[in-house]
Parts: sequence; structure tokens; C-alpha cells
Amino acid sequence: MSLLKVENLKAQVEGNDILKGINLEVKPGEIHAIMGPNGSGKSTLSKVIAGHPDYEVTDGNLEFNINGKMQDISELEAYERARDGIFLGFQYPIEVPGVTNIGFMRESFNALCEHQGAELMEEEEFRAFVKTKLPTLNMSEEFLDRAVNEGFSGGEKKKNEILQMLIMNPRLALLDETDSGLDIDALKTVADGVNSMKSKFNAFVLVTHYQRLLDYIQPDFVHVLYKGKIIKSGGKELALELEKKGYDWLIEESKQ
Amino acid sequence: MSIAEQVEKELKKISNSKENLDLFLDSGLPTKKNELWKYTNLENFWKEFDLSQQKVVELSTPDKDAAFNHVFFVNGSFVDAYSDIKVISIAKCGDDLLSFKSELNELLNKESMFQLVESQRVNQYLLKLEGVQEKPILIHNFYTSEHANHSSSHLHILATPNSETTVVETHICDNNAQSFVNNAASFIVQENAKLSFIKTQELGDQSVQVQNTRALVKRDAQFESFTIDAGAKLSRNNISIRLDGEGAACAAHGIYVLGGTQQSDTNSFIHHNKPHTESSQLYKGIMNDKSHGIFTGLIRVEKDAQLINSDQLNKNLLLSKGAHAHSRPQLEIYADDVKCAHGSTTGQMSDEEVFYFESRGVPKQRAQRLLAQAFAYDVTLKIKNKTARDFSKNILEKNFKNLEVE
Repeated sequence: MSLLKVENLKAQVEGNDILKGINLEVKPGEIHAIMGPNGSGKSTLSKVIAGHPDYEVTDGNLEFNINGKMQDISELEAYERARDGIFLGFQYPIEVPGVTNIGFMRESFNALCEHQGAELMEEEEFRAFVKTKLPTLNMSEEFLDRAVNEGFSGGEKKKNEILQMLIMNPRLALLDETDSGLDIDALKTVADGVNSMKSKFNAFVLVTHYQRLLDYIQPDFVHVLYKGKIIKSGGKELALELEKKGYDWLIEESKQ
Repeated sequence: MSIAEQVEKELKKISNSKENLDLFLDSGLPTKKNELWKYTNLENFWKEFDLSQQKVVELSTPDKDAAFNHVFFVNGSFVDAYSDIKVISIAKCGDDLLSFKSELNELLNKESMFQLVESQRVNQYLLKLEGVQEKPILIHNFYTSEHANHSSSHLHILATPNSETTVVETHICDNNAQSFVNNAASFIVQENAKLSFIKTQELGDQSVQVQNTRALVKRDAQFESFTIDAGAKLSRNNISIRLDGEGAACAAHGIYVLGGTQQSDTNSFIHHNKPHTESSQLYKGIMNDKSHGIFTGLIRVEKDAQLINSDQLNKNLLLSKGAHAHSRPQLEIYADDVKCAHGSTTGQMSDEEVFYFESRGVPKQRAQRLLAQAFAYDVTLKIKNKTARDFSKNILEKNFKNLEVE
């Protein structure tokens, strides 16, 4: 049974074709890493799956498992996809002045509750729930009452994304360069967060530049994206090979 | 006969103060030729004219929130029966009121709408604040007429030395009333006193309000003015504050949330007349549909007013293509050792912020509403008294309920 099925997916932004025929299947319990040089379309892929309104799907299929059935999600709004269990961890988390972090997370969490017909969570109960997730991420409670990402360091912003992920407990987490700009301690913390959530029911797609993150989160599959297409897929050893040899040999290979 | 001519003719008959009448006649009703009324043509909003005061009507027993001490006015006139705190009418305060007036004489002197209030001299009251008041005072102003009418009143508030008070004022009317409310609130904040004044306005979309707020802030005293505009087809706020003693501080903040063809026009003047004084201003506007928000703010620092600290910021959020904002921050500094900052921004809602919410399961419209609220509550958060802060937030809440962004 698949969780996500992407077939010949083509997408554009402002009239420019970015994705030119992506094929990808993700099953529950799997971790996939998407690697590739700058401008290859890695971030676009995660945004298209999450439903960013600036990206238009022009061809192919985008299916997600909802209630045990593969369903076309290409027409669903981003918020509907989120409610169905897709989470996007932002490469550049957005600062939202005037909205507290805990208020933002409760809004998100209650959106899921509403979707599932569950009772909404009151402020106090929610705070207690969020507090249980803080130690994993080495975060202090003070972060909950600050405005969303405002004045956070790069590392704090990324940890905050992982905190939101743990709260929303998605079935599919797309983490867009969550490792970029992190020092080694923060990287470990982020990895701990991912590993603490990993189960046979959910899956992760990690978009990353570096093999480094994969030392801490073991991927089952590594895909190399180049000019909007996956030019090579393999196991975690592929990432190590890329770390040593760079992308050029693969690009040459793909031209033949 | 134009509205302006009618007002002049009528006013000459009923005026109770020759001095103020002359000041009014100097410029007459404001027109666009007046730099401070450049964007608001009063005659577009005040088509039917009647200077006669509305009759006082019976007020049915009001609901009184126990968190406040209440004061009631109907069509500008004090309602003793339901009020927890008594104000003194002009007839009974005699010289007290005149000396009060003379201390503030120069403030809003050239604003003819204020001179219109003063030349009529009706519904004039004095309220003295003493001691530290935990409970805020809530001043209710009801306007009842269904026909074009004019209501004029002037409340003088004296915050005695060392007193601390929060005063909230509401202006509301019957849904279909076409009220023209031209009122004044004057404050003297004496040594070491703290006074926070929050004007809220939820008038119907047929009504106009011109609010004239003046304050004289003495040594080590603090005055805060908040303007929460959530209604009326036109609301004009004239605010003039003089920091008149060392260590005096003031804040003038405002939020206007507009839709349809509503217009809000703020004209603030902060006068640093003594050294070591501080002022801070944050005015925010949210404009939807074809509404129009205007802010003009002048900070003047006198030659001897060294070492003052002053900041002023106007931020506008435009939610539709037809909405617009005008912003004119101005400084006039004659001292050489001062810290003054001013700025203005006008922009649309960030799509990226909206998408951030959407990616977390929150539908677009709700995300936009939450972001607009966050923009507005930045101002109400500055209200220190929790009862008054929640009250102000609730008034704005209604404006966000049906908010739709183009």
C-alpha cells in the first residue's frame, strides 16, 4: 500500500517549467531523501506536494492515501492536504508578528481536530501537551509565548518547524532543507525529533543538500533530482557516493 | 445655501461664547484648502444639517458590567440615574471649568470643529479623578435620533496629582441613526498622575464622528490615548497633547478597521514643551473594499526641550485594490539634543504568511482574518488594564468576523 504516488508530475511557476516528469512512490514506514544541485527542483517538489498556490501542476498524477484509498490531491487546497496528513517543514520558516507560537500551533492542531470530528483542545490542556514535546527538541517554554519565529535564530526556527511537526503528527512529512544552517548540535536535535516520530504508519521525504543529515536519519531511499527529473535512485550508499564524487558523474551518466 | 453657510448662520444665533465663535468664523467649516483636512471633505459626509441639540430621551435600564464603574450620556447629556460616578455640569462648576479651559487654551485652537463645540458650549461637564482606581471607568455615549442631527459635548477630565485611572469611552447609536457627533474630551494630568483614555467608536454606517482630544501633561505625569475606530462612515480624530513638565510622558495609539466606503482621518499633534519628556505613537489602519485611512502626525520639539525621546509609526494594511491609505508623518524640531524617530509603511497581506497557516491546516480566509487581527491587536496589547484591553479587543472582533480579502 502506498502513501504517496507521484507519476510523471510536471509543474510550473510563473510560466517556467520546473518539474519535468517526476516519478516517486513513498510507502508508510519509509524515509526518502531527495538530493541534487541547486535549482534542480527539490524545493518545488515539496511545495507542489503540499499545495503551494504559486505552483501549477501541468501534467501527471499526484495521489495520496486518504482513508485507505489512493486519491488525486492535485486539486485540493493546501489546508485540505495538511488536514489529510501532509506536513511541510519550511526551508525558511515565516515570521508572523503578533501571533504567538502557541496560538499558531493550537490553531493548527484544532484545525486537525475539527477535520477529524474530535473535540477542540482548550488552551491549558494544549499547553500541557506541547510541553511534553519540548525536551526532545531542547526548547524552553519561553518559545511558546513569543511571536511565531520572530527574532528566532536559524536553528531555533528549524527546531520550531520540527516541534510543529510533532504536534501535528502527520502521515507524510516533507522537510525542505531542514538541515541547512544548523550547527552539529542543532542537527542532532532535529534528527532526534524526526526519529522520535518515525513509525511504520508514517513516512518522511527529506530534501537536503548534504549527506550530513543522513548520518543521523537513515534513509531507505536516496533520489537525485536534476533539471526537474529524478536521474538516479538508490539506497543510502548513494548519498555517501555523492558526498565523495559530487553530482557531475551522475549528470554525465544521465545524458548518455 | 451651502452647509458651511448654514452652520455659520445658525451658530451665530445659538453661540454661547463670542471668543470661540470668532475663532470658528476665522476659518469656518473645514475645507480641503485646510492642509489638515486635505483628504476629508466634510460636506461629502454631512449632507443634512441641523445644529439644534437632540432632545434627551429616557434610557431604559442598562446592563452594567461589574468590572467597570459606569457613566452614561444620551445625545451628549449626562444621565444621573444610572451612573456610578457623577460628573459636574457647567452650571455647577463655574470658575473651575473656566480655569481648566484657559490652561488648555492653545490646544486645538485652530481646529474649527473644536471651536464649533466650544462656541455652542452645550453639554459641558467636569470629572475629577482622585486616588488609584483599580476599576476602569466606562463612559457610555448613546445617540438615538433617526434623523439627521448633531450632537455636541465636551467632557473635561482632571487627573489630580498621584491619581491613576483608566477611562474607556464608547460611542454607539441606533442602527439606522444618522448622527453627527462632534465632541471634545480635554484632560489635565497633574503631577505624577497616570491616565489612560481609550476612545472606542461603533457608530452605524450612516453616522459621522469628529472627536477632539486635548491633553496637558504635567511633571512626571503619564497620559495615554487610544483610539479604537470600528464604525461610522467617517471618523475624524483630532488629538493634541502638550508635555508641559519635565518627566512627562504620553502615548497616542490608534487602530481603525474599515470596510465599504468608510473613512478614518487622524490628525495628531504632540508638543514637547519641556526637556526630558517622552512620547510614543503607533497608529494602524486596516482598509478593505473602497475604504480610506488617513494619518497626519506632527511632533514639535521646542528649543528648550532637550533630551526628549519621541517615536511615531503609522502602519497600514490594505486588503483590496480599491482601498487606500495616506500617511504624513512630520517633525518640527528646534532643540538639538533629541531622539526622534518616525516612519510609515503601507502594504498588503503577505501571501507567504497566509500559506504558512494553510500548510498547517488553516483555511485561507481564516488565516487572513487571524493575520489581520494580529496586526490590529498589536495596538490593543498596549492597553495595560486587562478589563479595558479585553473590552477594546471585543469591539474590534466584530469587524473581523466577516472579513474577506480580495
